[in-house]
Amino acid sequence: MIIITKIIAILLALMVISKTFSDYKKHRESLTMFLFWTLAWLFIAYVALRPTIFYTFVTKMSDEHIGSGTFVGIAFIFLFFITYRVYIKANRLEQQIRDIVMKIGIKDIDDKN
Amino acid sequence: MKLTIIIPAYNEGKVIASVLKSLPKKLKGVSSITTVVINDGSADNTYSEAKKHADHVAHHVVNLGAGAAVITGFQAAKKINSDLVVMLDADGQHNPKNIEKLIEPIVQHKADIVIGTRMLNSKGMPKVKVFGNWAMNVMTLLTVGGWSTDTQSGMRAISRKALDKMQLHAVGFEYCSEIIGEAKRCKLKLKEVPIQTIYTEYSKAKGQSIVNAVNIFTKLLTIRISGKK
Repeated sequence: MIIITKIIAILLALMVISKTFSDYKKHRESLTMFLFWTLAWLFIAYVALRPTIFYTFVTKMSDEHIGSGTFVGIAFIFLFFITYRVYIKANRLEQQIRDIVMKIGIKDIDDKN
Repeated sequence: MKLTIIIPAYNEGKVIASVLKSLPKKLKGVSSITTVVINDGSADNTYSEAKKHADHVAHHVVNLGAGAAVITGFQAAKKINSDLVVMLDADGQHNPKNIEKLIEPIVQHKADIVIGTRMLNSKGMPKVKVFGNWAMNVMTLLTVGGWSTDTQSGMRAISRKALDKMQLHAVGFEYCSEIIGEAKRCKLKLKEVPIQTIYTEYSKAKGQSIVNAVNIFTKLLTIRISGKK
């Protein structure tokens, strides 16, 4: 099961990196964003292969030991926070697009009578 | 009274011309009639057909949804200083002869919103649609607290007073129920008049699906909970 999860994580990382590279080549994405997503997903793939890196890091930083439950809990909080931010942003953008489309829609309408 | 007939349309190129041609040119108690088609990002020739036969065409460059098209129609009606708005579906299911009795309660200052109800004479309506409409009426009552025998009817008359008072946010088909909720919130007088529906294979295929009811219910709940007013 753990091996399958690791393989999925690596496949997902490869997919995202190839997509961001393709977008960069087509000038849809900047070099900065391409480098950011590549490094981020390389890091995610590395953590998937060697999850103990987190325990080592936390122990070194604070002399505390955290269990896997705590680790998953912290990860959930961060992921949900990011999801919430993305949702809010997407919702706001959708509202703005809607307002623009509706305003453009009636801009040529005037009272002829 | 200046009347504006608004017709939200999405991919109705085949029938929009005949719907527009069938509209009345004169009505009792109405000084002028203006037609506005809201082309909601159609991929077919709806826009060009509407341009030929309607007085105005409001064009959404992308598809936003039926509710958004209705809001644009209301804004257009306000822009052309209408006293009264009639909404019709673009698929030809509404009989334009019913417009006169639909606007009568508003012309006589007896109502602010009039709903053309298909449910008082649902003969010819597919059984599944009859059930779906009653289910939507109950959902509307539970979510927005307003009642009508046909909350999903697309044939309505709205007074200028109601247009100015209502605050609509729904972009999908949930707008039908939202208007009923707004009528209650703004203490507007709501009436119903029975209308005949023209069921063709085309209009039957164009109606809302039963599956969409779940989507509408969820959105109405969201509107209710978020209190977007």
